[in-house]
Amino acid sequence: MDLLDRYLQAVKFWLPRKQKQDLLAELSEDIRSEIEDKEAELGRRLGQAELETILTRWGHPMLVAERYLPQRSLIGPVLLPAYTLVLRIVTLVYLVPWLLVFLGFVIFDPGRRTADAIGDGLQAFWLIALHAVVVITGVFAVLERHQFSNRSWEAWSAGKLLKREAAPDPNGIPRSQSIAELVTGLIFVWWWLQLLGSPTSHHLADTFRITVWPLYPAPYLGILVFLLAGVVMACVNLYRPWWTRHRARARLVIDALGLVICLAILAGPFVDITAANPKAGAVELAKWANLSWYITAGIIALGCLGRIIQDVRRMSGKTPIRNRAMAFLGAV
Amino acid sequence: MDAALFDNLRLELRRGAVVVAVLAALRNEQYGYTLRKALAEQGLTIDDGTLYPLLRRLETQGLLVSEWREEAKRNKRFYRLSADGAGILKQLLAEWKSIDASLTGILKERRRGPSRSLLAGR
Repeated sequence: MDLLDRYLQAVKFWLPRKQKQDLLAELSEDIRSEIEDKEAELGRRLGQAELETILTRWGHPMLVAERYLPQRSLIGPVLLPAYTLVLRIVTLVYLVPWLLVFLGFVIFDPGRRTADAIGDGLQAFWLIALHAVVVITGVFAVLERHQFSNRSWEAWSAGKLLKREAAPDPNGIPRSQSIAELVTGLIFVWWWLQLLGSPTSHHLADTFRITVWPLYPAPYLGILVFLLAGVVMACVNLYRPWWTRHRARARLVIDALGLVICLAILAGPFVDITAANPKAGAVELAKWANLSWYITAGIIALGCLGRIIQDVRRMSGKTPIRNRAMAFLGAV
Repeated sequence: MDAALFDNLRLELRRGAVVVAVLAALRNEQYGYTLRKALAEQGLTIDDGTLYPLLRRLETQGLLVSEWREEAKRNKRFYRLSADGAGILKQLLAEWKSIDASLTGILKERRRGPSRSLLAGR
């Protein structure tokens, strides 16, 4: 096999399957024409170095073939700013706190200071970060593929800016809000599914014992249903970005479920964090862990309550309340 | 001046012009290699790896038609401008003339000096 054949074989490997033979025949023919032209000009056959010069000018086989492929990008320039924003939010709100908690364990718990324990922790962190990036990238790639961005961008008109400033549409649902709910919802669903197979009692390096609600797996499934319903709602809101009475009713049911779950957690004991080893200052840490757990459940319960109020107002044809408190609770 | 920056800008500037040149050159039927040579002789060198995908794209868009035919005992793919391509070429050439006229006007304005044109705008 001579150099030209080798080059053509290398290009063929990367060419799109359906057009492979046709494209290769044309490339082959035109390169041969160029070689013949050069040979006629010189009055002799081309040497190896001259042939190399011609093929090098044609370029790397992968680059030559790549130019025949359609221009594609996983996440295009329109969605890229939103994609990087969500990545930053997940890093700040989820990954950095996870790392800080891990560092807290390493500092306060001597049993966690071994090379193996630190290695396991860092490995877990790496997997969590990787999964988060994969899920977020996947969601945005799906949005890009369905050209959601193009349709909504084309439907935009400058007049909407004035309308928004003058009087925000009380029944409008910002798409950015739906995207954020969808992405965070999917991350939590994935995380919750990981927990489903876990045992109900955990020992952390003989320092803490975490016991979850004895009614397992009912509360887990309740929370899973709550999270999945939120994801479905975000999907619907993304493609139909305005509230209807039916959808307000559906969200009322979802939020009522969330409220019941949170109240059950607060009535406890849903999670019991106790110190198995009182020497390591773990009693104090267990108190703080319990308190933070109850504060989180309380904030989520308030959020559900706020949204229930808004849903009831929408269902009865009233304008939802718009103030900072409702915005803080994510209930606008 | 940064040579890489100039090369990038030059490439951007030429990208649209190459499409017009290819459409214009294919008013007479040619195959890839002779087309490339004809353009190079007119001072418009096109990278080998750029021309063929461009021809395919223009054909997919209906601006060119092609057929495999034997010439000098070898099969070659010949391209020529389609009826739609001729219409588009006419419009593109009008656009080209309009851009040329605008640029000429801007350059004349610049030669007169910025202060004068600012005063003229008041």
